Order: sequence, then structure tokens, then C-alpha cells
Amino acid sequence: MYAQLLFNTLVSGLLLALVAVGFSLIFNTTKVFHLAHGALYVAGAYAWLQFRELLSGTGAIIGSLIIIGILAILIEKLVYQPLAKKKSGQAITLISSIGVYLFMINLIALLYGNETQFVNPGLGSSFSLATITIVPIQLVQLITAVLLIGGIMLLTKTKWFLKVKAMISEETVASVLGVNTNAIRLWMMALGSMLAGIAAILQLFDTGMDPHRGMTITLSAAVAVIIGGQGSIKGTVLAALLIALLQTITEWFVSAQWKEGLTFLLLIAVILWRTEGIVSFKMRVEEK
Amino acid sequence: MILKVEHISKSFNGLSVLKDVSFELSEGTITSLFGENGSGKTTLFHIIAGFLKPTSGNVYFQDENLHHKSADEIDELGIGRTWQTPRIFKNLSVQDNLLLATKDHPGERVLNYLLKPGIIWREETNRKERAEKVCDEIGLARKLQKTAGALSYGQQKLLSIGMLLMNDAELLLLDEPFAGVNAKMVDAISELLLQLKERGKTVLLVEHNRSKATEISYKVLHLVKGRIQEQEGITP
Repeated sequence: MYAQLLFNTLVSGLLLALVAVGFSLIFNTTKVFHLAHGALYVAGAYAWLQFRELLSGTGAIIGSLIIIGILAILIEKLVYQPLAKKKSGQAITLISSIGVYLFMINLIALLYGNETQFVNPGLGSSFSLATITIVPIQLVQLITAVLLIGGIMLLTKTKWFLKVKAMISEETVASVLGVNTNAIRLWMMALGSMLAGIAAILQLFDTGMDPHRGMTITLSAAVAVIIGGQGSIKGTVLAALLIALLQTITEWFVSAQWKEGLTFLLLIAVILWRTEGIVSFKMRVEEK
Repeated sequence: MILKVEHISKSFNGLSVLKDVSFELSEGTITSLFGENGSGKTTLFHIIAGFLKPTSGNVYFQDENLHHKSADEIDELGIGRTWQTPRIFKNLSVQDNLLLATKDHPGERVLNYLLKPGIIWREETNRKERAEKVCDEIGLARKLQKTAGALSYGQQKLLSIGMLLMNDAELLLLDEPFAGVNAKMVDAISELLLQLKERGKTVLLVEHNRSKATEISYKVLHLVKGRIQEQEGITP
């Protein structure tokens, strides 16, 4: 039983990690607590539902990711960038992000209804590996998440991403050195949102999707980013797995209703223990 | 002359900060700029580095008028500046800070990692070797992989000078390089500046530590109420 629980946790943790890594890329570069990420997550799944009427499976995925990228760029161009230019505080951008989230979710609910949408991925029946029963979609989720997270890790090793890290560290200095910070913001918005979109499509194939699922997963993702520490992708993935484990244990041994509550308790505990998160850089005390 | 400042004046909302400032810097020299707080030293630095445009007058670097150049273009031409408080990337390693100061890396285009991996690898190796050399020059040889935020304040100042060297700056504008650092570090920084001078670099520094700055300077400029008074110093 425990092996099965651990496997399920690994899959759900990696899906959460995809959303969290996306949130991290956006949050660390734009400094916006981007709750509208939840709306883009849901939009990813609904865009796929729309595209599958017109295109093949892969075509529908590519089409929906393009739509998510465009929506993210529009949010950045029309909302976040103008607010950043006016040097609006974080509270204002947070409220604006909630506004965007509510607008998009209500629009999706209006167009598609509030009921859960289910899709049969048509991948055949489940099979057993030792004591673990694996549903084929879980395998797809696992492989896709590992490949994408691995890809992002590789991207962080490039010279281009060094500029992103520079911007995360000191935006003004980066722009003085000729880093195009506006372009990086757009790239990160698009890339981060597409990761959420893919996670949503994978979730749609498994447990279905309704317009209101975005906020819960975004809050868990935000907790993973904070616990992970200082824009660390590795830390974010580890934290997402830890949160998934906690949520599985809570669901199994306590009650599903306590899932989110205990996630936030974990956040408080980690922050009290290590303000800088799980993975942090060595700094002088006065620099922290 | 590597730098010519000709009749620079600057006003903010009618308040005159710089009044007809003119001076020249010879190649391979160190010049100190002294002045009380609010005398216009930083404004003058901002104008030379392109962060501010003068109300009137011109700045020439290697006979090129900088009037229509942006701060980024001036940086490319070979004028680098440091700030009173070191502006470095504190979350990144010393090596990454130095690498970020270099320009036009083929790896800035992610697709090149697939199309031209060999070129990227060679370029990366060369730049890392250079970063190591610069790190050695600025006395941070054993700190290459350390997080910049973990360095002492004085070491962070050395790193910001190292970043200018990585960028091949010919003229270094240093804003209070000796401020807030201990005597040992003041000696280390002044030793580095003298070495740079020997290598043909030109340094203009704004400083409050007059004795140390005068000791290493070829020329001393006094800025009093926005006007310059020039004094010849002794070449060390």
C-alpha cells in the first residue's frame, strides 16, 4: 500500500512541481505574486478541449500552449508592465492579479459551465509493477513532468538564463549591463504559464478539470516556491514533492478537507525554521 | 587625451549643479575628484557615463562626442563605472558576476546550444579563464565560486572593479572606492588601481579619503559649488 501511495505522490508532486516551477519563473522575474497563474492553468485545459475539436492530439496541445503563451503575454503587457512602470506596490499588483484571475475564471465558467470536464485519454487499461498499480496516464504524466523539469534545469545552465538570474538578483544592475529586462519578463510569463498549461492538460486526462481548480493548485505552488527558497528550481521541485507527500498523508490518514490547511502549516513551520527556504545561498548576515 | 570634458553645465529645475566644468584626462593616469557633499561630483559621473545629459557642453572619449550616446553604448565604448555601494549580483557566484560583465556571448541565443555547441564551449572556456585571471588580479583568486553576497564589503568593491576589467573598460569611473572599507582593504584597492594604471588604464575616482587618493593620483580636481579648480599632483 505504501509503495502505491509513494508512487501516486511522486506523480502528483511532479505535476505540482510543473505549476510551481512556472510560478517561480514568473514570480522571481516580475516580482508579481501571480495568482492569475491559476486561471492560465485552467485555461490550458479548456483551450485543449476546444482545440481537440479541430486538431489532432499533439496539434491540440501545441495550439493550447500557444494560446496560453499569448494570454500570459497579454496579462504582462496590459496589466503587470504598466503597473511596474508606475512603480505600483506589491499589494496593488496582487489585487490586480486576483482581478485577472476572477475575470478569466468567470469567463471560462460562463462559456463552458461549472461542471467537471472529463476526457478519456484512450491509453488502455492499468497494469501492475510489483505491488504498484499504474494507470497509463500516470506514466505519461511522470515522463512529461520529468522531461520538462529536466529541460528547465538545462535551460538554467545556459548563458541566456544567467541573464535571467542576474535580473532576479538585481534588476537595476542587470539593465545597466544591457540586459533587456522587459523581454525577459515576457519570456518568463509565457514559459511559466505554458508549464502550468501542460500540467492542467495532464490533469484533465486523469481526474478531469473544472474552472475553480486553478486557485488551490496555485496556492500550493506558491507555497512550494516560498519553501523552495530564493528562486531555486531544485528547491521548488523538492518542496512540491514534500507538499504532495504531506497532502497524500493527510488525505489518507486524516481527511481530504485538511489538505490545504496543513500545506499552509508546513509553510509556516519551514519559514520559522529557515526564513530563506530549503535551498539558499551563503550570504553575509547583513546581506540576508 | 582619453577624456575631454568641455564646458559642462547641468541644472535641475533651474538649480545649477555644474557650472562650465572643463578638464582632460591623459591615458594611463589616476585622477581624483574631491568635493563637499552636493558639490556635483556624482552628477558629473552620471554625465560622463551617460546616465544624465548635460544642459550644455560636451564630453569626448577618445575624440568621440558622447552627447547622443546611451549609457549602454558608452559602456560598450570602454567607459565603466562603479557605484558608491557596490552594484553586483549578490545571489550569484563571483565567477558569474564577472561573466555577466562580458558582452555578446553566442550562448545568449539558446538555439546556439544545439546549432553551435563547439563555439559556445570554446567561448565559455575562454571567458572562464579570463574571469579566473581577473579574479587573481583583484585579489579574489580563491573566491571565484563563492556567492558574491558572502564577500566582505571591501571585496564586493574589488569585484565591481573586476567587472569593469572583464568588460575591457579603458576608463574607470570609481565612486568612492575606499569608503566603508578597512585600512588593509584600502591598501589592496589602491595597489590594484596603481597596477591598472601601469597597464595603461585610466582612472577617475571620486573620494572622501583625500590622503590615500592624493597619494596615488597624478592629478587632483576640486569641485567647489559646481565649478572645477584643478591642481597638479605628484605621480607616484
